[in-house]
Order: sequence, then C-alpha cells, then structure tokens
Amino acid sequence: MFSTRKNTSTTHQALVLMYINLRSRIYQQQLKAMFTALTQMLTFFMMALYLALPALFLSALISLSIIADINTELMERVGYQWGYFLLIFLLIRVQKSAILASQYQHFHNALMITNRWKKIASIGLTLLAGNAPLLAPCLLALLIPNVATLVHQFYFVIFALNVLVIAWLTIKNDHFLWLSLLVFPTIFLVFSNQNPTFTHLVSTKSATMINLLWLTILLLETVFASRVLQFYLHIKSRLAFDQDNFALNGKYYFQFRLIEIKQQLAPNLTRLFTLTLIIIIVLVFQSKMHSTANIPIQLFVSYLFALLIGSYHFDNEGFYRHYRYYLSSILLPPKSRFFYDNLSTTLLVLIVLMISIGLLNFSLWLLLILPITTALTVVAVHYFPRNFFIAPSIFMMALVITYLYFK
Amino acid sequence: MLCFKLVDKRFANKIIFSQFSYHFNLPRYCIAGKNGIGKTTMLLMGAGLETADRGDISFNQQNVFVVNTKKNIGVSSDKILLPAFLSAQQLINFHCQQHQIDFPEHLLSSLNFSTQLRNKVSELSLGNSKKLSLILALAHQPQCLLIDEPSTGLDHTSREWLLDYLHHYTRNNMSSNSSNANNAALSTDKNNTQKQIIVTSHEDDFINDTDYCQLNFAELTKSSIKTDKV
Repeated sequence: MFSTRKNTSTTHQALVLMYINLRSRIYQQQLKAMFTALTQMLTFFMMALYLALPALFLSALISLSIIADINTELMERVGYQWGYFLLIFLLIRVQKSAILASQYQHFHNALMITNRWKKIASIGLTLLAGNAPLLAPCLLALLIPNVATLVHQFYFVIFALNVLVIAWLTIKNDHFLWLSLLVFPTIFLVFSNQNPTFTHLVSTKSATMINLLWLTILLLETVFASRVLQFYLHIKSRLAFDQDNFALNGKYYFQFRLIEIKQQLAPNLTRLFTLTLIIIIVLVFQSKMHSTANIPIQLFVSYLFALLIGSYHFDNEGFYRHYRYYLSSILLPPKSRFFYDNLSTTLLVLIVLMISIGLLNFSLWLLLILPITTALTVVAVHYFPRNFFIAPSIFMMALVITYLYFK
Repeated sequence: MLCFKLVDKRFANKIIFSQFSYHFNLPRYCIAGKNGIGKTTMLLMGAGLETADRGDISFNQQNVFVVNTKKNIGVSSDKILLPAFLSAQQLINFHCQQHQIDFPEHLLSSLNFSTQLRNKVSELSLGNSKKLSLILALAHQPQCLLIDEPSTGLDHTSREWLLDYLHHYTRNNMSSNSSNANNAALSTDKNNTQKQIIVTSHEDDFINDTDYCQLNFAELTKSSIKTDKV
C-alpha cells in the first residue's frame, strides 16, 4: 500500500513537472511567433534607433532610481511612477496570451493537474515575462536591511506591491486599468498643477501617501471597475449593433473593413501615438531653437512619417492572409480592395501634410515627397515585407544627396 | 460545368495534384477520398479561392478566378475563415449586397438560424458556423454549388433539410409535394441554366445518403477521380 501511494506521488510529481515544462514551452513558442511577426518592424527600429533602444530599456531602470529616492518631488514621482506602471502593464499585456497559454486553454484545462499548479505556473511565467522591470522593485524592497530603514522607505515597499498588483490585474482582467492608470494620475496631476493647497496637503507624507492611495485605487478597481465596465460594454454592444447595421446598409467593402479596424485599434493607436510624439518633439525643438528645422532634418522626419504611415499596410497584409479564402470569394477584384484598404493611409498622409506644412512650417516640397515615400513603403511592404524600409531609405538618401549637391 | 485541365498543385514539398484533369459533366457529385488526398483543395480551386500552380480551371468555359464567374459559384467549407469581427446579420447583409439579392429569410428559418443573427461570427458554435457558411453559399442560388463536408456539426433537423434541399437543387421542375424550403429554392431560380452540385464528404452516413440526394458517387485518388455510378 505504501509503495502504491509512493508511486502515485511520484507519478503526480512527474506530471506536474511535465505540465510546467509544457507551459514554459508554449510560452517560448508563442513569444517566438510574436517576435517573428514583429521582425520587420524590429529590424527597422534596430537599424534606425541602434543606440536609442538600449537607452530606452535602461531608462526604465534609471526611473526606478528616481522613484526610490525619497527627495524626488511629488509631481515628478507621480509622473515617473505612472510611466513605470504603464510599462509593466504593457509588458505583461503583450505577453498575456503566451503566459496563460490561452490558445491551448481547452487542452490544458483537460489535463489532470490541480488548479494550484496551474496558478503556480502562471505566476512563474508572469515573473519571467515581467523580467527586470517587474522583479527589480521587489528585489530592492526585499533587500531593505532593517526595520528603521523599512519605516523610512515604506513608500518603496508599497510601490513594489503596486507593481505586483498591476501585473496581477493585467493577467486577471481583459480591460485596461483605466481607473488607476488613467483617471487617477490624470486627475492628480491636473489638480496639483492648479491647486497649491492640494499639493501641500498631499506633500506632507507625500511618497508613502501617494503610493497607499494608488494601492487603494488599484484594489478598488478589482472590485468596482470591472462591474462598471461590464455595464458600459453591455450598453455599448446594444448601441454598436444598431450602429454597425446602419453602417452596412447599402455600402460595401470599406465599411466592412472599418468595423474590423474599429475592433483592432491597438496597432493604429500606437502608430498615431508615435506620429504625435514625433510632431511634438519637432515642435518643441523648433520652439527652443527659435527656427524651423533645416531641409535634411525635414526629409528625415518625413521619412519617419512615411515609414510609420506606410507600415499600416502590414495590417492589411495580415488581414488578407487571415481571411484569404473569404476575401477571394467576395466579388471585389483585389486591385479595388487594395485601393479601399489604402484610403485610411491616404487620409493620414493628408493630415500629416497639413500639420507639417501648417504647424511645423516644413517645405512645400513635402507635398510631393511624403506621398511618394509612403507609396514606396506600401509597395515595399507588399513585395519585400522583411526589408520594406530599404526602398524608401534609398529614395530618401538620394533626395538628401541631391539637395546637398545642389546646395 | 466545372472543368479542371492539367492542374498542378503543391503545398510546400507535398504534391497534391499533378496533371489533374477532370470534367464534371453531371449535375450532382459526391466526392469521397482519404484524408489529405486534396478534396477540400480541389473544391477551393474550383471556387477560384485557391490558385493552381499550373493548368486551367473553368466553369462553363469561364475562368473561375474572374469576378463574373464567381457570381455563379457558391462555396461552403470550414477552411474558409469568415470575418470573426462581424455579426452574422452584417455578414449576410454584406453578401446580399454584393450579389444584389434579398435577405434569405427562408434559409434562415429552414436552418433555424434566425436567433443567431445578432451574434458575432466569433461567438457562433461549430454547428451555427456551418449553417452560416451554408447560408452564404446558397443565398445567391449559384449555378455551381460546392460544399465541403456538408453535414459536419449540423443537427438532425438541419441535416434532413439540407439533404432535401440538395435533392431538389439542380432540378428545374419540381413535384407538387415538395417542402416550402425547396419551393423557395426553386422559385428564386432566375434562369433555366443547368445547376451543378459538388459535395465532398468522408462521413459514411452522408455518403449513404447520396442515394437519396441522387448524387453521383465518386472517389478522389491521387490526381484522378473514379466515378462509381454515372
């Protein structure tokens, strides 16, 4: 009997080890697939931002030193912590399906493994996925040597706890943590800017208080926000259905595609965010220098714009691949589909042109250069997806050399 | 009628068809064959959804990849991923607007699908996805109807209805005792051109039912088709 029990226990241990091994292999495989999909963009960014990328990664750890410093001003602290929390959220959110093995959910639910081990595997993979940004604050908090230091640096322990709670909530919820990562920091920064009394009130025990407040809001979010969101989604789905039906009445392919774009907003929002960031950076630099950027810089900026806007065609190509057979079955020739799918690219080019010429005072030559570079990018994405940036880069280099030669 | 002429098709290193030629000159076929032999690929090529590496595929002497030919073809296969982001109603609307036909209420009620219209395609069960795929294939009353594994996932009532529907599909005249669904199937038959059905199946149950549907049983082997009763 003892032997049977021992054998059962050994079998269970072997099963658990196999399960953990399986989860880690699924995680690796999904991460690999994700990186393959991002290879084109990453290759470009590695080439264009060769030195900036390590700096970007290090800036997260540098910001940690600012957060850890007791003398950091309250506004600055909230700003840095907000950025850090967003980074944690994004880092985990992007890898969520790989961490939870969502694609194989039914398969691993059918395995004879207790929920406890499933949770342990998920926690382990979350820590791995969060990597240095997730582990560093926890390790620093654990290294606090004595009680006196702990009391003195209690704010940092709460901050580390906040980081863990955000990672947990990101895994647990499907929606953005809008209350703690959007509403609270925005209201706080706006209020403290406009109301010195408010700032003073919070400043007295600022670091600890703000982190405790943030933790409370995070915990409140676990209880209330999902209910509010469910109610909102319920109302939205009822309204959206009629709206979408209305949108499809009498019209064709572009509306059909619009519904898809509306439901896959993340990549487009990222592109819009990056475009806005570039515009703001140019605007800030121009106002500091009290002059408009020179022509080679204008060309470089328009080259970045073109790559960003043209890279939208990756989404189109992905859409074509995914619904390949269905799209072949509809009565719209591929050329017309290509035309409709690039209407949003054209619209974006027009908006960026208006901003570049109207707001940034860029040269009127851009009216010609930006559309051509964007069109080149779109064509390159279609024919040479891995090296899509080569053709627009050669075109842009030719323009810069021509300009410098004639100057 | 659907015709394959010297068609070559390969996926990566696997040759699916080599010099495959066949003229589907009868109105009704049920194609059987081993898994992986190329039944679905043949159907998708016949519908102009999958290109051949070499050779010609035509329906009534028209290239199947031309939009005008596609108007006359209806295809249902689990391999065709339907847009998951649309509701079933939106997808059917879109289909109807392309083919300029009325909303196929009769198909919806016959397949008991009306309650699913508000659901998104991604939320549909296997059986309901199959029904939606069939509705899209049948709604425009195509001259050439290609159905891959028609009975997979269908409930008993829908399966019975489908067999009855297929039984009457290619006939231009119908006996007076046929069901409403079949009346609808024929009443919308705008022209009297000969219709064709090609069904693929590996389910024994369905193949046994081919007698009822009066489908001509055929077997797809490596790059050739052997017909049993023609």
